[in-house]
Amino acid sequence: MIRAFVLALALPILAAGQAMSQEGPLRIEITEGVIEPLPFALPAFVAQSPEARDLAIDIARVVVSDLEGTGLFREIPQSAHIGRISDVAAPVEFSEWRAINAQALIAGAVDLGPGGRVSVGFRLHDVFAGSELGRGVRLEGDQANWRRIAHRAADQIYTRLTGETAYFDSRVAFVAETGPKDARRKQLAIMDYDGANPTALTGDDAIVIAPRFSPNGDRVLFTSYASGYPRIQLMDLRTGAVRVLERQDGTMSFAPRFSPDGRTIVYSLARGGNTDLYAMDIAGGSRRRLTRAPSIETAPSFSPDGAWIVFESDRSGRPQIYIMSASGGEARRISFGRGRYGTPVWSPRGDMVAFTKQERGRFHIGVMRADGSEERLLTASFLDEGPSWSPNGRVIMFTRETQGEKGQAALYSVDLSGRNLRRVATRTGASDPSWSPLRK
Amino acid sequence: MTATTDSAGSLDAGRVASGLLHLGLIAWILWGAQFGERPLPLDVTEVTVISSDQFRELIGEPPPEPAPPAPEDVLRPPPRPPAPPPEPEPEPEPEPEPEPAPEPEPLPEPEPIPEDPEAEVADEAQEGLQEADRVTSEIVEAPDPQVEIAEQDREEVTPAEAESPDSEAQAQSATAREESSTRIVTEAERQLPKIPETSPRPRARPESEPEPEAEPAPVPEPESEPAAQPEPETVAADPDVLAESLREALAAAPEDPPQERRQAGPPLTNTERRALQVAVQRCWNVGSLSSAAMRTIVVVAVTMDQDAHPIYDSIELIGHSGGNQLAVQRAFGAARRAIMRCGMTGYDLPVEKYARWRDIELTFDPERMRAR
Repeated sequence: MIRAFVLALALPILAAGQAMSQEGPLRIEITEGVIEPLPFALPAFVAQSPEARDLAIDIARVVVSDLEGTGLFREIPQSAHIGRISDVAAPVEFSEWRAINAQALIAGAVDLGPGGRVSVGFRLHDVFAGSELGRGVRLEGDQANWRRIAHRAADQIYTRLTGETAYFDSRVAFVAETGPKDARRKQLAIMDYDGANPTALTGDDAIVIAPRFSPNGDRVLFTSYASGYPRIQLMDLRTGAVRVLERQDGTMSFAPRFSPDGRTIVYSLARGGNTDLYAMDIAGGSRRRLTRAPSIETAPSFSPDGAWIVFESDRSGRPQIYIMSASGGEARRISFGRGRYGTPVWSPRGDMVAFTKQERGRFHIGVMRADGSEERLLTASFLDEGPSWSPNGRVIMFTRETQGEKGQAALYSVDLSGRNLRRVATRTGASDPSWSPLRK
Repeated sequence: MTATTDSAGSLDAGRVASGLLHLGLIAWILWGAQFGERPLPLDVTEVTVISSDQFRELIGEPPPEPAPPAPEDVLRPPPRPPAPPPEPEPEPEPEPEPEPAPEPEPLPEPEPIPEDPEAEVADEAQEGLQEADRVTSEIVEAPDPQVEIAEQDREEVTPAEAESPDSEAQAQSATAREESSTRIVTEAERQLPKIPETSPRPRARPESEPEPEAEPAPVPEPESEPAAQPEPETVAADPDVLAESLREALAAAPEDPPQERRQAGPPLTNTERRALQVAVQRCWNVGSLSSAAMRTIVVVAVTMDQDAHPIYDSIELIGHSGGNQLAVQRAFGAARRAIMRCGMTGYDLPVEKYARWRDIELTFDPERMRAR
């Protein structure tokens, strides 16, 4: 009896002790961190033949430039490396890379085969995890396309490190500007996203403005003054063929943009002093009026799902941003700040709208949510305008023009967060950028 | 008729009474003040009005420098030449809504034309690049360029100091944290008037935080020491039976080594927990994470060795919320790097409480970082 009583008394005490020992691990909540470029190491790419030596250097340079250009990554200079990579397939001594605080390691090799065929293979390692991040990748192409191969390699690395799609293998259509400001010549041109490989698409005999890439990157819309009035034209980039889309006499057409499926355009048509929005079926040429207002409606842009259109209107007395159904109808104003808002562009992610804002004599590129909330101005200068989103919706490219008779237009890019403001290298003055989708 | 005469007589009496009262009132007004209290005498000092310049001369103070112009607000148009007389109070700016009748907005005021427009483009681009690359929870001033950048500030200890018999420190070079700000500042925000939004004072050191009263002092844990329990009177009668029963009970109990409980010691204090938290978050870099990963919370378990180094193979993802699988992977990768990087030299944890921090679960919640 006594024994049973003692057991009855002791067991709860032991159970309580056991429960205390099983309080579980120490729990810590981390809510503050740092935002800084992630350091990576890219040892010299291994040249697998003497002919590939220079190419290996060039390709590695483009990959580094792409990654560093995002502002999200920072290369650890090769002079600081302790380890060496002589064989991409060999095991990596991670401690050597941890010691220099490299958080990612890119090991690559380049070969130049017969017929000028370039082959690039690389492996990406998570240094602190001590493992490979994804599987090894091999890219091949003609030597003439070595920059594209490098961009694609950088795209793969970016995606694996960030978890989102990249934008390096993309192009930008823009207006190349030459000559003095009062006699400026404007040509439609195209280049890689980083300013390399610029190519003129039109001559400089007629002013062209506002190029817009099609959703799959095979065509470009633009507005030409060849007839003396602005007219929307469509260029097929594979053939170079140009078609005038809007020919109504006594009208001006401008500010076109593709629908997400690439079959429709929405644009402004000015007739009799009034400007409204229209939609046109590209193949059939039939048009539909979307707005009926005595004010100026312009700069329409589709939402990524094609259901909505964001546009600029001065129906309230000064230019503001509105949203309406893609089929027209009642519009809802979403910008309510001071100043004038214009050139809204819907983000490829669908959650944000980029815009130009003029306030107190300064121009800004800004972003806001599609419902108008969380407005944030990213830039400020004498003249910033015409934002265009990168294919992944992370970066915005725009035009910045300096003041004065000798003022020049140039292209700039800025991260969605407002960091990493950079000038895009162009050989001439440049304006009206339109960022293509990722190339196939 | 008689009645009429009586009535007129009473009216006359009323008039007489009214006249007397009015005369009395007028007399009180005229002479009544004579009977009131006289005002108290006042001390009067003769003064002379002088100008501020004369006053400075009197006290021997030099004339002041002309007042500096107010800092120029780059967002406001420059003042117009025919300046109107200053108004005592600035008029409130008109509300943006409702919109006034359409009227042309004045064009931007012409600004001085730079000699070289290209130079301005370069300058503005440079401004963007001058931003601190690092955003953290506290402002860190730019360190001396000669000092090595590290995750923690550390003072230099020269070999001579290290060899001093009084010194327990080892020779080390000075390190300093990299320059950082508390949030991303866009170009547009940098051009706003320079009004500091927050004081740039550093945060108080964790050590200075007061210990919460609720934190129990290190007291013995009676639950884990069954032998120390007061024995019930009913079992005291037969100590042999009691001891045997306890032995059997202990043998039958699940594994809970009393020795380990004793080694666990008291729980970590808030200061010790905070120090670990700060150490990990210094290395939690979310700058390269995707938007989806920035909406993902991950819970990571790690086992520490007795030197407070994380055991790399033990780091595992034990929970997450929000984000797709790829976002979870990237969020976990950033968390793992944070634990490993800042644990390379060992975390500052009390050795005597090892059992308390051997196993740690860290929840990484980037919500606050999204707002930066």
